[in-house]
Amino acid sequence: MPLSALCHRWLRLAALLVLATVAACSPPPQQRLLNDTASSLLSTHRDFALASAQLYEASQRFCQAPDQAGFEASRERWRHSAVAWSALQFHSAGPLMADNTSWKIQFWPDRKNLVARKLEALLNSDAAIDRDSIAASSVVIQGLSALEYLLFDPKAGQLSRYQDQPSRRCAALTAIALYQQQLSEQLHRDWLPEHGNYLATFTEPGADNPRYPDHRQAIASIVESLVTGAELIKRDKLERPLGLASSSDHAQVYLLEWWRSGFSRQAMIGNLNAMERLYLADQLYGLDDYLREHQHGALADQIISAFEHSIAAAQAVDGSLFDAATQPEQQAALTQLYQASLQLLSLLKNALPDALGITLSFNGADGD
Amino acid sequence: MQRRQLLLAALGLPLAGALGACSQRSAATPPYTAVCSAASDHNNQPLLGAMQGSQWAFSVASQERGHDSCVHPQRAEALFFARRPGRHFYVVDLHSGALRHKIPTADGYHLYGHGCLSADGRWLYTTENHIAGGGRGAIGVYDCHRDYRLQGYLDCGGIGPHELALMPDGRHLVVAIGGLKTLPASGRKTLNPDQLAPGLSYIDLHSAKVVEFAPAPHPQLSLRHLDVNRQGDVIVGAQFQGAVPSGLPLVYHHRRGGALAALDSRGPLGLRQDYVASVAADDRQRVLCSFPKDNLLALWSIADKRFVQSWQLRDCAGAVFDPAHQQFIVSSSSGQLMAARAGQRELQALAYLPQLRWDNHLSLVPAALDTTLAQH
Repeated sequence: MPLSALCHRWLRLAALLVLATVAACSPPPQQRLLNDTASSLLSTHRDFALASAQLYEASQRFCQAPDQAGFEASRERWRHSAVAWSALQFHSAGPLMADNTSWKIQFWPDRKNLVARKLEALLNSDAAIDRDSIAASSVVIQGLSALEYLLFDPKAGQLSRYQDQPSRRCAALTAIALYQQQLSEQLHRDWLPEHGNYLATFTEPGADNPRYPDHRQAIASIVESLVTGAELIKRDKLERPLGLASSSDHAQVYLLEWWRSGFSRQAMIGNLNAMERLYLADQLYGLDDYLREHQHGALADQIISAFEHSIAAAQAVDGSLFDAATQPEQQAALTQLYQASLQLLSLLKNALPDALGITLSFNGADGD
Repeated sequence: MQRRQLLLAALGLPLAGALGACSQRSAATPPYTAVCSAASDHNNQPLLGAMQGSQWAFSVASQERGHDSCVHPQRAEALFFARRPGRHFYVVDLHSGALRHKIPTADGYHLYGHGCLSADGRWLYTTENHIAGGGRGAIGVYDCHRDYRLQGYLDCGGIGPHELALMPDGRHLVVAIGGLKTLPASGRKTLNPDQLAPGLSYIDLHSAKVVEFAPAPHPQLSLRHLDVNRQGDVIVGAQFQGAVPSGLPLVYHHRRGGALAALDSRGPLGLRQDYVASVAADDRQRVLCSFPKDNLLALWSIADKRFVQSWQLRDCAGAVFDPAHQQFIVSSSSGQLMAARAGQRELQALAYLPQLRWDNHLSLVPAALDTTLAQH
């Protein structure tokens, strides 16, 4: 046999062997789903840690010599952090749920304007402002909500305030940004094998795993996060602040998320994008593939359409939700967005668990 | 992170799968004292039974969903109470696992899912809704020695009595008054949303009178579940009847003669749903509460009103202290029975019945009866 034919034959054999090995090693669908979803979640946590680090660096640079460019850069990094946070905000399991972490990152809704009151009290006192004093303070002034106040409030979050009284304002800005950077880094570490290893908790269900005794429970936690996100958007981000629950309801725009920065709509789009990413496991083997593998292809597509419809409806609103809430010409767009959120919630909360054979909130829905 | 792992992560590849083999766990299942619970199976069939080890000691099917239970130690019976607006409680022989009685409420009444026994075991007290009386709350008194015959009713001082307990003096009942008026004709709809008067009611069993009423600190804080320890500390958990998160404390401590004092400052807990399901006191002045809507269990020290620690468990609800093993037994709608121990970061698995949903509450089978439980 000529050498080239021998090589060709060997290559074919090797290729077949590789394919056979891949097939033999390919984990079952539910394991692929958890592995790929974990991979997506890990990158989401890494992105948030990175955005927080960049926000801290920007605030430090700005405070070395407060000027317009540094101020705008800090604001931009804050927006970047808010989008990164919108990808984690709706998670209902995992390290984010421990030690009140989500409240430490965002204090919202703030019905009593506590962020302004507590921050002003701190700024007007003689108390030390550094990373440790922020860590020991109330959650109200520890997170992105406090940073939003310092960077965007119509009165307190203006460049002139830093130029007039740089020291305490800058101390607060950098200390809170540093605290956030460390918190987000810890949150990321909690997932990593050499630290908290939540990755193994999530991807290795079994009798000895106290969180997830089987795959179904871990899959249920993905669904639960999606439902939490859809409920957050429908109820807390639209219905209550915009007074959409009934015709007699009034808008309460100061309940809007990120009203000071006018960033509510972008953050909601951030939620929707991240929820879709979670659902698709970043285009790897996600819940959509899992549904298709279990003869629910139509539902898999319906959910993708509902995400896209919701994102398009949010993009169709002109400007911020804070401004749109009081503009009659925007009411139709807001109503469409609300309707899209209702449809998404219904699919995620009812059709998806039904298709997967999962019960959500049996005890929590008991009402007793 | 190792270079290979970084590379995998950077490529968006499933890092976890590559690492799967690195973290094998092994743990022996810790022991626990048997518990009674209501449950639902995968066909939504309500069940009432006792769990021992890795399986049911017994279970009986019922026509209505159960809520709480209690064990009659002298009669070796488990009593299961139907959930609102159910009208029966079920008496099961712990030795045989057989249903002895299915006791209906009087016409015009329904149960709220809870009951407790007198100190001498003669009387059973249940929280009930006097439907015919416009939804006024009542405490049903049943004679355990005469086939649980209805003896009469006690006033409880409010609408919507929910969980109740015997105080350590054996003479008083403490009742959590939810304040919510519901009638079967309108389902579970709250008919008095603007006029709730929740609180804690103390009933003197000698005089059959309400001798103290401690109002809830906020009119929308519906008080539902409670426990009392040997020192007479009453801990009560609330469910907020308004826009959540309310920002209000949900867990309160009470001593006779005082006012309700918040136990949770909201500092270390990320609660968003304002819903306490079970309250379980231990013998060291600590108390554990379950928050199923927040997938959380939390432990406090009562003596210094200090948060101790929390654990995550999906849709957790049932909780009871197990003194023989110095642990709290907790349950979830995912079929898990777990142990929560102060100082241990993770819950420990006690038993797991896939496809089963444990209902809201657990009750302990006393150690003396634990060994004689029916095995079916």
